[in-house]
Amino acid sequence: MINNKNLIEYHLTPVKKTNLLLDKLVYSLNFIKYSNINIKQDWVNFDINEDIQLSVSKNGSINITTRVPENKINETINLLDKLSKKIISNLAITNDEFLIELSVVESKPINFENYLKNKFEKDDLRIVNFKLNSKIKTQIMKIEKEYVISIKGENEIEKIKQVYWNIISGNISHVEDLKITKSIQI
Amino acid sequence: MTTELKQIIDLIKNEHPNYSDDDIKLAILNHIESNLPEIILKIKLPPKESSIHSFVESLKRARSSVRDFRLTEKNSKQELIHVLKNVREKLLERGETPTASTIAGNIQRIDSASTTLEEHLLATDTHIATLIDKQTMSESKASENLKKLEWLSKDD
Repeated sequence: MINNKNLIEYHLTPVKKTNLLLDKLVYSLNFIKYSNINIKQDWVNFDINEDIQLSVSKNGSINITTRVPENKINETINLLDKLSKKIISNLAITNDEFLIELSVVESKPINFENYLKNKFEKDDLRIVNFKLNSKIKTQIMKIEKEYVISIKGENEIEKIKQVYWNIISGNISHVEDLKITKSIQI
Repeated sequence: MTTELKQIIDLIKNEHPNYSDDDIKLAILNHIESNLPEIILKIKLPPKESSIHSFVESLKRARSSVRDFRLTEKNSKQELIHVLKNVREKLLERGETPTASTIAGNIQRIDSASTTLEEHLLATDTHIATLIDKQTMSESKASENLKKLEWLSKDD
């Protein structure tokens, strides 16, 4: 029996442009123990294990994907945030402004769908873009029975996480700039 | 194969020069036939990749391609948006506000369209990863993953 795991992607981008040398980047991150490493275009990709992939680009962006069961999501997001800040520190990136983008693939129904149905009488969710405050942009895409929740635009992971849990629980009082796309052409 | 067999026949012929190649071939075949059960048990063949292993490897390569595509997409988008934002700022400095607004709209549309593609890629990544789990019958390594992340992120 294989348990479903949620795929989580944590992406951090420095607001100001940085240009790192890839060999220096690898040297600075020698604390990372990996099973495989490769360089593709501007990215250094570290395979930590089957379920954790970490990439750092020469412009200072960090991308980590992992898969965990539902009950470990909160703990995992905190660790991903801590790890990315440690990488920034090791790379000696002096920018203190970052954009965080968190994406989670959910296989269970989310209560936000009920909120849309009750408040706006929208029950054909495909792609929904909205803001819960002026700084955080959110997109939810429904693909068959799965949802891809993508939240971006803040420096503080706690605020991003709060939006995520509000979407899951449906604990939402209002949304801004709501845009619903009913169907998509592929 | 023929060359290697000929070498064996030549070696035997050195010891038994009065026999023809055909005699030696027949003798070899008779010897193999009479010792076949033992040969089957003891024969050492090179390891061959199973079809499942090969399938899993192709799934892993596919997953890696999806991830590479997603990361390239993200970097290209960031680079493009950065360039367009500079154009917008220059237009605003020159007082060309309507054109700057058009560029702002373009930036927004590119950002949203690209996010949609990224999310499709993320969903594809999930599906392939689940397929790999099913093929390899690997159970959740949640505790192992969390320990790994804790270890990597610990303060020096």
